[in-house]
Amino acid sequence: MSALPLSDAAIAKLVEVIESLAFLIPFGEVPCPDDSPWGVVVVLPWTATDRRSRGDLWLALTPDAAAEAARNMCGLAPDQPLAAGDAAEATGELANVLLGNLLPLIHGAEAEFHLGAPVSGVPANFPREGARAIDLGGGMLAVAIISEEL
Amino acid sequence: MGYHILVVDDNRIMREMVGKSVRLSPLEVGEVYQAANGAEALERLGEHLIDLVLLDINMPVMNGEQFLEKLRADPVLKHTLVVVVSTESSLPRIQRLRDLGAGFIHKPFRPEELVKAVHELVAQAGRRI
Repeated sequence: MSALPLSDAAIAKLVEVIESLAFLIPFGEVPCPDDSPWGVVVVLPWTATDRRSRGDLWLALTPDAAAEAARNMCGLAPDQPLAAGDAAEATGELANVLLGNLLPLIHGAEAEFHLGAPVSGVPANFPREGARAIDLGGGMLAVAIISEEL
Repeated sequence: MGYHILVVDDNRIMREMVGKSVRLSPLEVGEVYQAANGAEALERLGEHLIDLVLLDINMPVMNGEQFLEKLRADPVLKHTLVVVVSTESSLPRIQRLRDLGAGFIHKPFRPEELVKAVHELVAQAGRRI
């Protein structure tokens, strides 16, 4: 599989999703870091229903950003503790909504896809080629898509 | 009395968010139940009187489209109101869901979009809120 370049329209959609779903405030795009600062990484696979293509969306958040997203999505006050797994669940849903919004930008509105369940990814394996990162003011988020034609 | 609502989504946090949205909306809401997939949703519908189902599409075990087909084939449950709440963007699939009598709103959504979809569905079905 190879990295799929993400357009500016895709990044605009990413910003819209993280603002409206996780209530995170983006402070602009930053270079994807060389090291691996990620606290939560999820991988969300998809397959075109005509089986002509498949791929994975990778979404990575630093620990503070993942916790803030989960706290916001759960409606928790800053002093309320997160439950185990909340950060991963929140990141998984962010990945799901993001991918659902990106696929029609990439393949058109007529294409149909099956989205799999998000799974935890190894932070060190986050694919930096083609990835784009967003500064969240104290935290960071990065997204990458890899795909292949079948 | 208000609408008894079933929220069907495989993500626990999204179920909570959707449930919170309907409770904060102007809709009159009674009980809010949850299910993690279509099969669980059918079980809940057998256990409780439910007026409105808020349904995700991409779920394991039984997805939203399969659930909707089974619901519409059930002589007792076939008139249950369903609004699909999904990231789904494929126009052919959205049309199939509409043909099965479901409303549709796209994630991420604002609570007022959910209320509008429910009102449109109720008007189409000739019911009153």
